[in-house]
Amino acid sequence: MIVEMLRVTARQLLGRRRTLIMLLLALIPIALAVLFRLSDAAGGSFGGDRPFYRAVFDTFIVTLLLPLIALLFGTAAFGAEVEDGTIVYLLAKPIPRWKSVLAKLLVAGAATIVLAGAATLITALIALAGVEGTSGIVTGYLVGIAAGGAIYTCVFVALSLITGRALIAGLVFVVLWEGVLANFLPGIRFLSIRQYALGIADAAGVGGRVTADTLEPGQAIVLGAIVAVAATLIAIRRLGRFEIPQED
Amino acid sequence: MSGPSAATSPAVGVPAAPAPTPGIELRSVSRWYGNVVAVNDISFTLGPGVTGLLGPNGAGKSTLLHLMSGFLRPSAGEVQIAGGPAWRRPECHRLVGFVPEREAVYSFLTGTEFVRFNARLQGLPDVDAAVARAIEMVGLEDARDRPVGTYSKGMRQRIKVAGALVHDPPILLLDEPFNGMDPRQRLGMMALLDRMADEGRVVLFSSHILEEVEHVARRVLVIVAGRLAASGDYRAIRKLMTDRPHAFTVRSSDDRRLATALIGHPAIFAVELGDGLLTVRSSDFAALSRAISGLARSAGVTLFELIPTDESLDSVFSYLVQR
Repeated sequence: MIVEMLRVTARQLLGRRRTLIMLLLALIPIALAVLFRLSDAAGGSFGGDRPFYRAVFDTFIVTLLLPLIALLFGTAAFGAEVEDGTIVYLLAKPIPRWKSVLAKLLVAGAATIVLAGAATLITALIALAGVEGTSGIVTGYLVGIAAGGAIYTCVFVALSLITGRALIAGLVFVVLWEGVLANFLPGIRFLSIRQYALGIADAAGVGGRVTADTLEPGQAIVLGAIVAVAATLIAIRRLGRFEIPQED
Repeated sequence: MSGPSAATSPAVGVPAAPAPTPGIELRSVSRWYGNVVAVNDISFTLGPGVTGLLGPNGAGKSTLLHLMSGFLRPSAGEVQIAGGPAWRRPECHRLVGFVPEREAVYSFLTGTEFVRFNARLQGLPDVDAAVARAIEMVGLEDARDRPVGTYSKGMRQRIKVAGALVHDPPILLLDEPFNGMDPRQRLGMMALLDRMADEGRVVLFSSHILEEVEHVARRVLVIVAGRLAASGDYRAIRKLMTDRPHAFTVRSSDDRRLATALIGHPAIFAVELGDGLLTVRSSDFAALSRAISGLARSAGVTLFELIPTDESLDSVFSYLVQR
């Protein structure tokens, strides 16, 4: 049963237009890496004193690309079906609700991680080609991005079952909460998936703090796991009590 | 039939009674959204055979169907499927096939893939055979390998029915199944519903057209403004609707004189003088039309116009609510 759900969800999520937009987004860091190599070869210095890869990985991929991809895939996992009414075909089945949630999470999560991970890897290969001792850093980022992608996906899938405006809510979370407000209220880092991802990346090989206001790797792992599990449980509960919107 | 040990089993050799077809029972079910009551204190039991749910648009038919299939929580009362609650019990979907009104189906899947999707999620042991049988039942063998997005409205309805039937459910609920069907497809669907009922299934479908309901349903439930306005054999419902008092507008050369003449006739029970118009109420249009020209002539009044004023289904329904 789950295989069938995975298959149909995959076909639905990876529809032509959505995948195209994602691929375009994912090309941006790669393009930046190419520019970097070109300017480097031409003797210029890209990104100031912070190493280029930190700027691209932290600021662009983890902060922008990853949550955006997770948002688009995560909210569409149930969102598309709720909107056009085809959710009834999923709900009218003797399948325990947790299995349905798991299937959606797997597809949306895998799509997010593969896309963001591939962008990271290609960017790293281009930007760090020939630079010694960077494989540990790249691995660290890949792990951090995989973890962050999984956590974001859980949260956004849950969000799509809580509100019909999941896309906006998710954007507000990423841009306002994790972005703007986090600069003023350092406590927010305990509730920021971006910080979990960066902390996990630190633990997995990136090493060193990104800024002074980040999480210890241990904290990041524990908090990240809690948030992912809590979001999944909320999603399961909401699906179990889901009521088909009436048009009358 | 193998049984438990002889010491504790009941009389050996007595065949078990056949399991009764599971049905649906509603007990004082209501559903509201804030201040709007969509379904108001409805109770009934559904058994084998075809039942038609008749009501004007906005009466609550869809809401009721969603309540009955476990997709909405009742605000009050209970909905029971096969003896257990319908809400938050995914297993009861083994017993129910639901055909929603909304057109959307996964348009990128072919007909076969859509039915197979339903069959697999139902956990059927022999998916291919079940899919083939369901598609053949709705007559879509020729179009089965085309994407559902290319189907006409009527074909999409039928593939939805195939998806709902693939797991051979004893209960079938259809929300406005005849929408978008041409007369030939409608006959096909009616024949299918008849066949389902003959096989002992519990079938309920909704419609706002009495003729659609009449042809197939033995029993009709009329719902108006969220309330159960009438319930019974379709002939009884039809009689209720035609025997109701009708209102007519008459224009004549002398309304007052005509009114005096009309009020004496037994078929007429109310006459109202308005501006240049006479409103006449009678429960027997045939008797009225026979009587009126004679009455007008003997009163020396010329008739210009006689128009029934409340032939709409809505006025029929409001009459039923007020009864």
